[in-house]
Amino acid sequence: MLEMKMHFRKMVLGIFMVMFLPLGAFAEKITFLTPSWGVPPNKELLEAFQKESGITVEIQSVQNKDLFSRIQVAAATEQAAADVIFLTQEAPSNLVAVGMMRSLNDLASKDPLESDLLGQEFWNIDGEQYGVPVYAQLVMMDYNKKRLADAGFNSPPGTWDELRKASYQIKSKGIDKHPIAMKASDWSWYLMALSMGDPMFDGDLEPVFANPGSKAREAMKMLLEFFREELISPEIVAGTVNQHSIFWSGVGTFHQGWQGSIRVGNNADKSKQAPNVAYMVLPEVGSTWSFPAAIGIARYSKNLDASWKFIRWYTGIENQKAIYNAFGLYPSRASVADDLNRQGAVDGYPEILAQAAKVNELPRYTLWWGPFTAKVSEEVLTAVQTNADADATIDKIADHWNELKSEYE
Amino acid sequence: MGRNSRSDLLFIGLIIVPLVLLVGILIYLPAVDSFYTSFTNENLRIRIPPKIIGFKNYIKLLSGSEFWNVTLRTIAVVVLTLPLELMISLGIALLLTEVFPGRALVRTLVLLPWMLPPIVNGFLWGWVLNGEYGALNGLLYQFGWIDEYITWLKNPDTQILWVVVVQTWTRFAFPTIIILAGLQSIPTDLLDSAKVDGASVFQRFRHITLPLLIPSFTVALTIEFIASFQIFDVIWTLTSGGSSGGAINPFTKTLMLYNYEIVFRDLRIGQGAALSFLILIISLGVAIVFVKRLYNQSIQ
Amino acid sequence: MNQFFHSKWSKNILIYFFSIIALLWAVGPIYWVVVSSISTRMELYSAPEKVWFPSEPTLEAYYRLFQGGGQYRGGDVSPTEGLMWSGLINTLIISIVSGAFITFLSTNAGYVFARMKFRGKNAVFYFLMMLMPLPLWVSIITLFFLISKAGLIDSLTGMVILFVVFILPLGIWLMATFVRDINIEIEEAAMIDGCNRWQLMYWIVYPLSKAGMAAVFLISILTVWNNFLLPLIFTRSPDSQMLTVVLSMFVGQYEVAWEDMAAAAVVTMLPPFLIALFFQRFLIRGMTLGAVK
Repeated sequence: MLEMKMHFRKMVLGIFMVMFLPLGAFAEKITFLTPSWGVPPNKELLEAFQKESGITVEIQSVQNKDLFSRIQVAAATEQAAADVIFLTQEAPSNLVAVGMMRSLNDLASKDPLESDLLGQEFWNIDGEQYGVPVYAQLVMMDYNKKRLADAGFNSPPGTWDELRKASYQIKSKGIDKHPIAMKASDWSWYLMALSMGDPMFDGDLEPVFANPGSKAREAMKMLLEFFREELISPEIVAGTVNQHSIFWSGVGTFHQGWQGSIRVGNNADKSKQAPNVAYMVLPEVGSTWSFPAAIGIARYSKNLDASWKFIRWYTGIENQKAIYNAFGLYPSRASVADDLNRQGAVDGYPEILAQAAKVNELPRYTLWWGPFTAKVSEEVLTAVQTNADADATIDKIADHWNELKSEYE
Repeated sequence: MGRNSRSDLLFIGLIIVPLVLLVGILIYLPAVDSFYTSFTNENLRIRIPPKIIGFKNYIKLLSGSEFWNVTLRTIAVVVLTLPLELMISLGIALLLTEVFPGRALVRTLVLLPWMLPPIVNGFLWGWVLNGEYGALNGLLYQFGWIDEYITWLKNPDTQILWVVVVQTWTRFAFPTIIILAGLQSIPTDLLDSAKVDGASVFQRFRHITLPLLIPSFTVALTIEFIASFQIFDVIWTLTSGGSSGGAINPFTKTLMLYNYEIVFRDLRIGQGAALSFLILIISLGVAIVFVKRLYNQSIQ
Repeated sequence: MNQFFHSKWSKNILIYFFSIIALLWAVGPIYWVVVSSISTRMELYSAPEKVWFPSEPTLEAYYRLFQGGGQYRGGDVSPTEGLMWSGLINTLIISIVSGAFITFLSTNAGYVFARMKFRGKNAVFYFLMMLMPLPLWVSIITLFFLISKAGLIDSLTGMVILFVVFILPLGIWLMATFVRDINIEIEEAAMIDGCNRWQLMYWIVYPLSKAGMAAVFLISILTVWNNFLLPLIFTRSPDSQMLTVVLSMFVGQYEVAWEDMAAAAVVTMLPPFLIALFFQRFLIRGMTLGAVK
C-alpha cells in the first residue's frame, strides 16, 4: 500500500515536471529590437518557430533613431538593450564600429552561413562577421512614364543633362510644377555623383570627389541648380516631408526611390502616381549604392544560442519570402530571389538586375561615417538655402572628411 | 515663533527627508557623474578609456562661434515665444475664471493641445503647413485669401516664426492651468468689497488680481522659459526632415538640438555633458532673476 | 436695474465670443487630426481644394487599430490592439499613481516650506529646485545604471518612481505658492484650538488647497502622458510600455501611417480628456475667511 502511494506520488511529480518542464527549462526568452519594418510579418510563421524551438521572442519595435539611443544608453552601462538587433545601413558606423555588437564568428563556425546569403561582406569588419544580411536594397530612381510621354519623351533619360532638359520641358508645359522629387540631403548628391561615375573615395579613403573638375562637382552644381530653378519642390527644403510623400502625393515625375518603391508608387491607395511608375536605370555610368540590412547579436547579450537560432530562422527561406510579400524588401538569399522572380512576383526585375550590376558602396563602415554624412546633409541644405557656390560646398565637405578622418583614424 | 517643538521637527523630517533622499539619489547622483564626465574627453566612438582634460570642453564650446550663434538663435525663439504664450494663457485663464454654462467643457477642450502626443503634434503641423497639400493652405485658398499655395516653411526666418507659433500652441495649456489655479486662490470677498467701493474692472485687475497672481505667474513664467529655452521636439519635427529621421537643420539649430548633435550623433559624451551644464547654468541664471525680482517680492 | 441687466448681457456675449476664439485656436488643428483618422490617404493629399469632411468617412483606421489580435503587425506600419491596450492601461496606471503621489507629497512639502521655519530651510528648498532645468538626457546613462541595478527596468514601479522624482520639484514649488495663499488666520485659529500639524493638514490645508492640488494633479498626469524619453529608455515590453512609445511605431521606413496614427492619437487623447473634465471642477474659488468652522 505504501509502495503504491510512493509510486503514485512519483508519477504525479513526474507528470507535473513534464508539464512544466518545457516552460521552465526550454522556455528561453530573447528580445529583438527592430524598427517597424523588421518585425517578422507573418505571425503564424513566428509562432511556429517559437513552438518548435521553445524560444519566446519578445519584439521591441521602435523608430530608427530611438533604436540607437536605446542601444547606446544600455551599452554605456555594459548591458544589452536587446539580444538580437536589426541593423540598418547606418549601423556599421554607429553601432558596429563603436563596439556595440558581438562578433558572430564563433557561432558561424559551428553553423556556417550559406554562400547563398549575399552581402555578407558589408557586415564583415576586420574579419569579424557582425551581421547576417536580411535584405538588399539598392537606391534606385523611378519615374512617371505617362508624364514623361506627355512631354514628348518615350524613353527615360540616358544622361543627367537629358534628365535636366526633360524636367524643364515638363515644367514649362505645365505637366508638373516640380518634376524632380529628391531631398536636400547627402543622398541626392551621392546619387547623382555615383551615377555620373565619380568614385568618391579611393583605396586610401582620400576624398577624390574634391579633385578639380570631378564628376562629383558637376553633380553638386546640377543638384543646386535643380533647387534654384524650383525643379524640386521648395516644400522639400522646408523639411516637413520627404521626397517620397511628395512624389506619392502627385508632385514629381522623377523620384529618388529604392528597390521596391514602385510597389508603393503603383498602389492606388497610397499614391497618386499609380499606375504609371516604372524604374529607370540610373543615367550615364549609373552606379548606385545599396542600403542593406542585417540582423546581429548585441555585445552584452547573454542568450547566444537562442539568438543565433532566431537569426537563422529570420534569414531562412520562409521568412525572407514573407518579408518580400509584406514589405517588398528584396531577399538577401539568391535562391529566394530567383524563386520569386520565376514566379513573376518581382516588379521591374530587369531594371533591378541591370542596376545591381553597378554598385559603389561608399566607405560606410568607417568610424566617422555617421557624423560625416550628417554634415554632408547640412552642407547641401545650407548651400540650397544660401544659394552657395557648388565648388565651395564641395571644398567644405572635403574639409569635414579630412578633419574627421584625422581625428578618428 | 521660536524653536520648533519636537512634534514639529518630526513632522518636517518625515515629509522632507525622503524627498531629499529621492532627489539626491536619482537626480543629483547622475548629474554629478555627468559633471565629472564633462571634464573628460569621453567619446563613444573611440574605444580608449577617457582622460580628464579639465576645462577644455567648456573652452572649446565657448570659444567656438557655433555656440554663440546657436545661443542667440535660442534667445530669439524665447523672446518671441514667451510673451505670446503667457499673454494667451493669461487671457484664457481669466476667461475661464468667469462662471458660465459650458465652462467645464470649454476648460477641458482648451487643454487638448497639451493632450496631443508630441510625435503626433509634429506630424500634424507638418501636414497642416505643407506647401503642396497642407490644410492651412487649403483653408486660406478656399476662403479666397490666397491664389496659390504657399510654402510656409521655405525660409529659415519663417521657419523660426512658425516654430514660435507651434511651440506656443503646444504648451500654452500648462501655464493656463497654473494661472487659473492661482486666480482661484484670490479671495472673492476682496474683489467684492472693491466692487462695492466702486472700483472698475481694470482697477480691480490691476490692484488686486495682478499682485496676488504674481507668485503663480512667476512659476509659470520660469517653467515656460525653461521649456522654450530648451525647445527640441517642435523644431526637430518641423524643420529637420520629418519622418525619415533627417539631419539637423543648421538654420534652426537651437541649444538642445546642438546638444543632441554632440551627444547622439557625434557621440562626444564629454563635450555634450559640458554643453548640458552650460545650458543648466544659463537656465538657472535667468530663472533666479525671475524668481528674485518677482516671486520673492510678492511673498510677504 | 436696467443697467445691471444690460451689463450682464454684453458680458455674456463677450465671454462666448472669446470662448469661441479660444476654442478655434486650441481645437482647430485637432479637428484636422480627427478628420485624418476617418479619411483615406488620397483624400488627405487633395489639393487645392481640401476635403474638410470626407465624402465617405471611414472607421477603417480604428478597425485596423483594434482588430487583428496580437501585438505587432507585419506588412504594415502599425502595431495592433495588443500594444494599444497595454499602452493605454500602463499609461493610465503610471500617470494616475504618479499624479497621486506627487500631489500628496508636494502638498505636504509645500506646506512645510510655506508655513514652517527651520534651520537650512532655504538651502533644502534650493536643493530640491536647483536641478529642474537640467536636460534629462544628461542623467540618463547613470540613471539607467541605477534603475537596472535595482531591477526596475521595464516595470510600472520604476516608471512611477522616475516620474515622481522628476515632477516633484515643480509640484512642491507650485503647492508652496498655493498654500501661502491660504489665509493664515484660519490655521492659527485651529492651532490655538489644539490641532496638531497632521490634523491641520487633513482638516484645513487639503480642503482649502483643492484648486492647487487639482492643478498639480492635472499637470502631473499630462506631463506623464506626454513624456517620450523616459518610457523609451526605461521600458521595453508591454509590461510597462507607454502610449507615446507605441505611437512612434506608426513611423515606417518611408512613410508614416498618418490615418492610423491619427486614430491612435484620438484614442490616446480620450482618457486625459475625461480625467481633466472631471478634475477641472476643483479649480474653483476656495473657501474664504468666514466660511470655515
